[in-house]
Amino acid sequence: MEAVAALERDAELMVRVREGDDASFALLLERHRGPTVNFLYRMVQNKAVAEELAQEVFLRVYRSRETYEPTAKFTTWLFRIATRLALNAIRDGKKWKGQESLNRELLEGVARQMADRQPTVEQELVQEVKITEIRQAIEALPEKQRAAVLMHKYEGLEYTQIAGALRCSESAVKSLLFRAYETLRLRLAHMAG
Amino acid sequence: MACLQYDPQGAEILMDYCAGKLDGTRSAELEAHIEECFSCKEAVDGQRRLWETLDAWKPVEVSPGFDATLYSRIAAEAERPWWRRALWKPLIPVAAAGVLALALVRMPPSPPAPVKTPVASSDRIDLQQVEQALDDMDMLTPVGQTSSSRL
Repeated sequence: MEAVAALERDAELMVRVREGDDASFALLLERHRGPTVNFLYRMVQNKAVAEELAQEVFLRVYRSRETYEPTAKFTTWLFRIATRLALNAIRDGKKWKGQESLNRELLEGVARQMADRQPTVEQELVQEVKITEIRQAIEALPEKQRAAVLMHKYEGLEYTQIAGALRCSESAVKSLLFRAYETLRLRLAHMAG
Repeated sequence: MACLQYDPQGAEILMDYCAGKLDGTRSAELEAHIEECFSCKEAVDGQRRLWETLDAWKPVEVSPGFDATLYSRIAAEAERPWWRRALWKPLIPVAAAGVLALALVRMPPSPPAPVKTPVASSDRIDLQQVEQALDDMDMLTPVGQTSSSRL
């Protein structure tokens, strides 16, 4: 029920944006900024590029406010735009292999996770290697499987929403997810346990 | 409850259970089943371990200047003259269709023998632009609204 209420709230906010209420756009941005940036970050694996793409996503949302019709879930629409932009960026070769920036981001993440536990250098390195392996395993998935897993696992989207974002049927999404998780289970088997 | 591998919805049940999205009754049924079924227990444990492994990749924090940059881009766009904004992009396919229709109307009844000429690079660029514009339109269409309903 909470999820349904949140979805309706998004559509309501977007209708208000259409009517010229910029404060509602700020609320939508507040609610979806993090998930959008993180989805894009995990897709392109570069924070600066992810933020640039997320800016483009919200710009497109704002630009299309006058023609917006609440015929479907706002999140589905948002992730459809984000997915297309991410896939276009990857296909255009804008996949920034800046390992330097990625490693810095990983280290920042590791430092945050370990902040309360005062880890040893060894623990930090183990954690960094673990995250790198997860990242590489996800990166190796076919594009649609990767997008589906990121939306399902990390953003908690429903099958219908993922289907809407990827423009395929719900059963196709379930099949994509099942195959992706199977592949990941095999690739990351040595880390589990 | 049937074994997951024989249930047509087995994969979905497995994913939903580990994602914490399976309702209470079905979760209880699955938990009771895996107490007795080794292969289903293995499947559930495997998916659960994967789920926990993936949790290690934490989200990044959005840069503090994200909103300010976005609002300045929105403001800059609003200040641009209308003909420089992307608002005309949806008109590209209509214009392309118009040009095509005009070309067909003006085409002589018996066309001359075809001469193979290399496609000019500008034509390629135009096609790319049209394709890009169609992509943009597609992304801006709310889900559930088909192209035919827009026309």
